[in-house]
Amino acid sequence: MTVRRLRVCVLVVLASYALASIRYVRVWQSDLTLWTAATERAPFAPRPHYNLAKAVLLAGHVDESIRLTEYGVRLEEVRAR
Amino acid sequence: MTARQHVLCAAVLLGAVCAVYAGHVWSAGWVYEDGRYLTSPAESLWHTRSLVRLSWRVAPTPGTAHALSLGLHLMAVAGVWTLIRGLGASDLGTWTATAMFALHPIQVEPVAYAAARGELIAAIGVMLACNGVLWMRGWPAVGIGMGGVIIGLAGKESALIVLGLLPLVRRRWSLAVTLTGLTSVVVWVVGAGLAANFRSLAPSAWQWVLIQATAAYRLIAMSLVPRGQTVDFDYGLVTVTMRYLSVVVLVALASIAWMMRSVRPLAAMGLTWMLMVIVPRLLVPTPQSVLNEHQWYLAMVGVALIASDVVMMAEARIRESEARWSA
Repeated sequence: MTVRRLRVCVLVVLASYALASIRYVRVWQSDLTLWTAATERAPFAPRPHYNLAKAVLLAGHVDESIRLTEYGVRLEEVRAR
Repeated sequence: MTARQHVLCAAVLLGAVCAVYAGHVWSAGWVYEDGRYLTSPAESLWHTRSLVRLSWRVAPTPGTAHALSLGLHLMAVAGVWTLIRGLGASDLGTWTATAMFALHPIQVEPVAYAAARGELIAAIGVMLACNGVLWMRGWPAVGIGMGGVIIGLAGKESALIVLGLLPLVRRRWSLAVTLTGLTSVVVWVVGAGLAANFRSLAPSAWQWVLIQATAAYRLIAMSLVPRGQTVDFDYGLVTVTMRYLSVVVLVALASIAWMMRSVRPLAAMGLTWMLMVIVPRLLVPTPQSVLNEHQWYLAMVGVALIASDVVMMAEARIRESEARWSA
């Protein structure tokens, strides 16, 4: 390996970090995107579901918000057992 | 590397950081607790985190707030470059570490989440203090160091850890250890007081240490391989064995830092830096807030220092083998 190749390797790693950042920064666009991603990452955690329910409610989808809240409550009950 | 090449690298890095956050700055709205903090009635600036409050007044709309956070991130990046350069890293090591700090996806949360701006201001203060102590001598060093501490504390109380980091930067290990011990005692006392206040909210002290150690372990792993990022990780599913294992990993890392202190001083310093930033978080219970990505911002400087040393080590080995071949 040469120093030139090392530089290329470093550049590739840094470029992959930058691309991952570009992808992740989109999650932080709004509460809806943030909590949708959070519920995908933590499907059994109640809090992200409550927060997503709130974001969905603010977006005007009342039924979906109720469904998410009820799901969050069920998750909490399961955890309490 | 010539001065012109340094300017070119800086321009490329600046362009890359701006490209990562460009869309966010112009189009993102308030997210999570942004609205609650930034649109709340103005409080006196003579309060804790006064610089954060001032920044909310200066940039009250989502667009300006995100632009300001990006600007502060770039200032911290400049501080990291100056610090690593001052610590004697090679050109490749310096730029690798700086770019890692600037572009790593774990840094997205503190930049994109306006309510987390305290972390950025605290990091700028810490960088200023460390660079002042590193690059200057006598009263200018004391003045800039104190200025940095004040700026950091006006951003977030966690900047207090700079008192332990300053001797590290000067590479005086015995003093560093003494001051780290003293800082830990202070943190313990403050932590005990806070624990008394938050007793109804926070779990028991040892449970808190376990869960924070688990979070720290997760963030360390994510600093290397950034996968599974989320604003609200489900620590409830982490097994007790894994929690204890996280404590063991942190203790092992501290031991490695101690053993490497003379062989690889920069990597040892990076590890120590990272652990020192984490320690208060392990000990001070905060209500319903497990160590998260934006709180990792300052610890990421330690990770960048380790990356810098790893690249320098690889560079040295390659040059060594090249010299052997040519001989």
